[in-house]
Amino acid sequence: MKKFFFVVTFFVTIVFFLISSFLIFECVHYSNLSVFSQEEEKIKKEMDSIHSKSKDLEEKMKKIRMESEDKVGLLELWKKEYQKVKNN
Amino acid sequence: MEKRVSKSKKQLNHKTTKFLHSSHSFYYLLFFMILFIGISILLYFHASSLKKQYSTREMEISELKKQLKKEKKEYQVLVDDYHKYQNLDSSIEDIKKNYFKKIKEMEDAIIRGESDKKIAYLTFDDGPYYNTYRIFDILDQYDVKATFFTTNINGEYCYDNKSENCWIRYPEYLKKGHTIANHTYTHAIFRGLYNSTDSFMDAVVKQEDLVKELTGGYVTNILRFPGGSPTAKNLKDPIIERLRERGYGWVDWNAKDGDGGRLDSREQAWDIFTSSIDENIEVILFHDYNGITTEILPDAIDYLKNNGYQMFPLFYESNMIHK
Repeated sequence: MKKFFFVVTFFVTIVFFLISSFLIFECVHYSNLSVFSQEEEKIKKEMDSIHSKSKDLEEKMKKIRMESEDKVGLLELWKKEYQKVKNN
Repeated sequence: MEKRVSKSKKQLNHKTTKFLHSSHSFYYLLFFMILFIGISILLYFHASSLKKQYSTREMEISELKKQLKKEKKEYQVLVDDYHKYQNLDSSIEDIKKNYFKKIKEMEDAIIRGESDKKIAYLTFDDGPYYNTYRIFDILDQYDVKATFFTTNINGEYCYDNKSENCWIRYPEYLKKGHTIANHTYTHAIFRGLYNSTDSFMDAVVKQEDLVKELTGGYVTNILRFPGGSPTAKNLKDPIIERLRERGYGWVDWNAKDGDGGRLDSREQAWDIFTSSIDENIEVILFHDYNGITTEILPDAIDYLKNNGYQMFPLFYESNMIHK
């Protein structure tokens, strides 16, 4: 009987030893949050660069839109005229 | 030999029994079991909390990535839009080219007798005048595009309304889809225009420069001789040669309402106009300044439409333009 308990205890100990080892590996893996910080920094840097580029481009767009108002109208006009001739 | 084996078996059994009977070793084992169970429980909770933090960060990063992707897409749309604006001029030129190509095909079919369509090119000489706006209004109302053979007779201010600036009409021609053509800067038929090829070409280049300046770069390439090409007499051929060198084509007219000469009444203009419309492709001569022309223009457009004519602005490649 004592032998049986001993064997059971032995296996349970082994099992829990393995579980602990596995959990230690998990803890080590999940505690490594610095990977995210690096990635976050990289993404934020890229986003900042896109923001500043977008801002510059929006300024340019404002200017070009104002300057090209007539041209946009003209393009629409010629598209309409072309369609009329094409459907003729 | 057998004795030796059975002896060693006995010894082993004895040791095992001794070990098992030793309560110390069992308690050690039990202690380790409980220790590992405890550690496992603690590690489980710790790992769970770390896992939660990890997945939160993972989600945050994935959100950031999504946002970055979205912003990149929006930026690309902005860049594409910007390029579209930058390429507006070439887009307009391309579509105009295709538009005139279609009209040329129509002309070719008419000339070959393969089409029963008819084309009328409305042309207005000597402008811009103050009255040009009334012409614009009528053409807009009928959705018709025309050709304006421009001169600088009026100068900056309109002859028919000195308080009005005539030069501001130049961009208007283009904005409305009309063709600006060259009718020389001075139109001085009896005051030196036809003295020599050079005097004529000077007036052509000056008008070309004026149009370029006032429209922001539009280059004229169609010309009408003031008074018509026969007015140039023996200078006609050398002038045409010079015009060709400069990339110009020229055109007279084959229909009119007589507004270039003396017109006594609307009826007279109408009769001249209707009797001159007898070909499948017409280049009709009008003048911007003439009140009678302005009066009959709506009826003239209706008349042309009712007789199957389609109206277009003139273009360099047209068969009606001599090169």
